[in-house]
Amino acid sequence: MMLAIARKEFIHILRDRGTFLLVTIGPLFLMVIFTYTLTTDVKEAPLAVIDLAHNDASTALIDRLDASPKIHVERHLASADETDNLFKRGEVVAAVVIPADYGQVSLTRVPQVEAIIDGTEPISAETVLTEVYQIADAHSRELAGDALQSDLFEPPIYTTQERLYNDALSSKVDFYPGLMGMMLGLPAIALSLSLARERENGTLEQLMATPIAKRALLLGKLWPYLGFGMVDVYALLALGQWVYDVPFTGNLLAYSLIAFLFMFASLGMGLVVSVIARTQQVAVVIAILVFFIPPFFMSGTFFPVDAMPQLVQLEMMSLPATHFVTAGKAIYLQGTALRELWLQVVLLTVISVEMLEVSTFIFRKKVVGGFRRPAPPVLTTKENALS
Amino acid sequence: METMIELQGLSRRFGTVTALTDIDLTIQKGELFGIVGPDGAGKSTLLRLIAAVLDPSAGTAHIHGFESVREAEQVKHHIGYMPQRFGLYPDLTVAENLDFAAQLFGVKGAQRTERLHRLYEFTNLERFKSRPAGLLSGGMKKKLGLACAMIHHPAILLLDEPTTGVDPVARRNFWDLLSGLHAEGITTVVSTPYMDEAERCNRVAFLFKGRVLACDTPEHIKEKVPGKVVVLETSDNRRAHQLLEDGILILDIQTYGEQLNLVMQSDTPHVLDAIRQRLDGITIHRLEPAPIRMEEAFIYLVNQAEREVLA
Repeated sequence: MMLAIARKEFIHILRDRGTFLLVTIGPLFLMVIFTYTLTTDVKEAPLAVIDLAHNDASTALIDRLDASPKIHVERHLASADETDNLFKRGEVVAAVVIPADYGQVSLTRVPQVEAIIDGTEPISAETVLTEVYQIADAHSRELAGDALQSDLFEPPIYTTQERLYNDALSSKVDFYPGLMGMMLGLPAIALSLSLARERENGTLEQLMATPIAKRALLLGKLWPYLGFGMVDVYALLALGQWVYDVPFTGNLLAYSLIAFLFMFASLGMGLVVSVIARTQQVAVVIAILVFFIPPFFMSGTFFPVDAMPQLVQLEMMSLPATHFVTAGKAIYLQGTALRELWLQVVLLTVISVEMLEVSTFIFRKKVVGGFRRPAPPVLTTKENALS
Repeated sequence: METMIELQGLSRRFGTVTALTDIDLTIQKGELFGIVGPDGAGKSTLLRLIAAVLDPSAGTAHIHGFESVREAEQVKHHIGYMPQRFGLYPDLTVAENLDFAAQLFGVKGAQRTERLHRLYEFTNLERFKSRPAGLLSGGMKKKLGLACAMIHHPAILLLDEPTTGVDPVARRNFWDLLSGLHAEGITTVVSTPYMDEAERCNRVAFLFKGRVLACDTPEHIKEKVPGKVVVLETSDNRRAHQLLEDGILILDIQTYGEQLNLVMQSDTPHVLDAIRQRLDGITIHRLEPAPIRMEEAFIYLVNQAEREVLA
């Protein structure tokens, strides 16, 4: 019986263009849009330079700054006073002050550049700041030369940061596995609509009059969406790997297991929504609130979970996306072994079982709340119809 | 005789609205039982209670010996229910819908092949096998619904207004199918707002405002109407209606388009002459006795029930 439901649900998905697009190219399409709009990589950020040294060393430094793909030297200023106006007009996001004694290396210190950033543009400003310091630091080391060996040398040269797993500091790499949790909510949204649709179309009443077991009906509806969901998982992985250069470093099998459990858990939530919502409109609103918004804000994709109030953290623990993002990110970017992610595996399994049980428990094979009148009869003869 | 359906004191409320009040009915094996009444009388609610897809607010229903609330799932093995609204999948083809129904009821193998063959023959749907159900005509949809409801050879068929929205030829066709089933001994409960269909049932329950006004064979129900029916057609029916309204000689006046049906104690030529005299000044096109139909009987029963409420 469950297979019968799964089979006919599969046919529904194939034949309904909206549902089909939603569960096939929907996640990929959304991913492309999100990746495009959310790219925080800074390219050719406008920079102002206040060169007080005007010597070979300062010119060399400015050339190097301009050569960086992240920075473009937009303006040369005589004094730092003008930067404020440029910030206000948004012409530059940062300014670099090169001191008058730049390049004059003593035994004990190398003159350092000073950077001024526009605090209202934190993301690009910080990237620019890091870049400026790295370039200036490298330049200083060259200028210092042998003097670096001296113990007397101070202050210490600006230490370069070392970043693990995301060397290029590309923000795509950072959010791609997290965004997958959001995109994979689409099949669950489609499933949420399915029972409400049957209720609206009157096909549910026919089903209710058959001996089909509630669990078989609900599980049968879930499987086809799970199948399409797994296809989406691999399609998104391929997209990340070959289009966005987000290298998959972990074990594909481990990732598949996590993704499977996540899909099952979120589709289980989709079933609960489907049972509760009496119309498709209600279902879609609840589904977006459950599958789309929370993963975006809460699953650690963009905002760190640790910084959130405890109540919110607790709520997030109940969302499958949270665990998928945690575990998926670890496997995807760091190649973490599955055994270290046992907690996520357990939690996703628990949510899956719980959602299936809850939906089966609250679903009633009854036409409650009266009935909707059908459309008026197409043909009634006057003699025969009573009204 | 074996009792297939037994309803005792069955009531159903929806919020403050009472859809059914205190229904007692017993339906025997092999009956073609009609539930007749206007829209909103409670026909669908009654069938849903029997199909165990709705729980009663009070009273009990036993279907094939199973109680409809506690043993709802057992009930469903023995019934074939066809809701008033088309309950099949419009995007699935005729064959896919039938296959799906067969799978739901665990009909498989040689049995499945044999039953599908019979149902295709019975409904004449074979040539539409690969057509999506949503593209069938109204009558074909109803036939497909019936075929799906019968795939598991249910003891009881529950058909909710199977001919509403179907053209007259297809209606007749559908009723011929039902008569065939009746001959095979299947218990069928069918609801309808059409009085000519009520005539084709073994027994009929007249449902009005959630109550059973009468439950009997069509012949006995027609006998409940005291007196005779006389058809009157005049040049001015409104005036005629007013002139005869005082109740002298006439029990009830019913309007049917261009004609008035007078329910009278007697239809002797003497009485008809008296009517003619009272309609002085109006041209009478037609004044003659007519056989009582279910329709007159029903209207009579409804009028009587409303008079009782007023009294």
